[in-house]
Amino acid sequence: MLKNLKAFLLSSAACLFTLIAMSGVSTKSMLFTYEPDIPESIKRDL
Amino acid sequence: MIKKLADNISNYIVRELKYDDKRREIISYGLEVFLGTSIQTISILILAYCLNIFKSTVFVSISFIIFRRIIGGSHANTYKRCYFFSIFIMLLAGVSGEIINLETIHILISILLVYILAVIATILWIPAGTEKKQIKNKITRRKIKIETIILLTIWALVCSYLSNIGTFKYVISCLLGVILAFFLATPLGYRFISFKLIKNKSKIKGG
Repeated sequence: MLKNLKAFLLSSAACLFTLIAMSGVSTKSMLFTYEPDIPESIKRDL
Repeated sequence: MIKKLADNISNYIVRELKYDDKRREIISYGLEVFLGTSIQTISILILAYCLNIFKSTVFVSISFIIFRRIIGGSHANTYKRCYFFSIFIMLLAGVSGEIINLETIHILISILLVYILAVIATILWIPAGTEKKQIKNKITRRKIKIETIILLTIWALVCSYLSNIGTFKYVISCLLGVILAFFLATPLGYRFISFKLIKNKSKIKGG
C-alpha cells in the first residue's frame, strides 16, 4: 500500500511540475523577475 | 542552487517512475520555476509581515502578478539577482503604499494617469519579451494588447469605485503594483534590471 501511495504522490508531483513547465512556455510570463532556461524539447514559436 | 535542487528531485522522480530524459527535463524546469517562485513569495510575505506592511505588500504583489503574467517584461539573468530585486521592489512598494496618503480626487487622477500611460505602453511595447522567450506572432501580440487594455480598464474602474467608497485603504498599493509591472516592460525597465532590450521588428512597425 505504501508503494502505491508513493507512486501516486510522485506521479501527481510530476504532473503538477509538468503543468507548471507548460505554463512557463506559453505566452504567459513568469511571476517575478527570473526566467529559467526553457528546455529545447518544449520550446515553441510564439 | 535552485537548478541543482530541481535536477536532483527530478532525477529521483524520473528514476522511481521510469520516465525518459525528455520528461526529466520538463519536470526539472517546472520544479525550478515552482521552487524559485515559492521561495521568493514566502520571503516577501515573511519580510512584509515583520515590517508591518503585510496587507499593502499583498495588494502590490497581486496587482503586479495579474498584469505581469500577461504583459511580460524584463527578467534578471540570475536567480540571486531576481530574488533580491523582487524582494526589494515589492517591499519598497509595500512601504510606499502604507505611507502615501492621498485625497480621493488625487487618487482618481493618479488612476487616470496610470491608465493612460499603461495604454500607451501597451500599444508601444507589450507583450515585452526576453532572449529566452519572445512572442513574434502578430495575431498573438494583438490579442495580448487587447486583453491587456480590457484588463486595465476593469482594473481602473474597480480601483476608482473602491477609492470613491472610501472603505478600501489599499488602492495606492494596487496602483503601485501596476506601475511596477508596466515599468519593467518598458525600455527603461530593461535598462534598470540590466538586461538587453529585445527589439522586435513587428513592435517597431507598431504591431
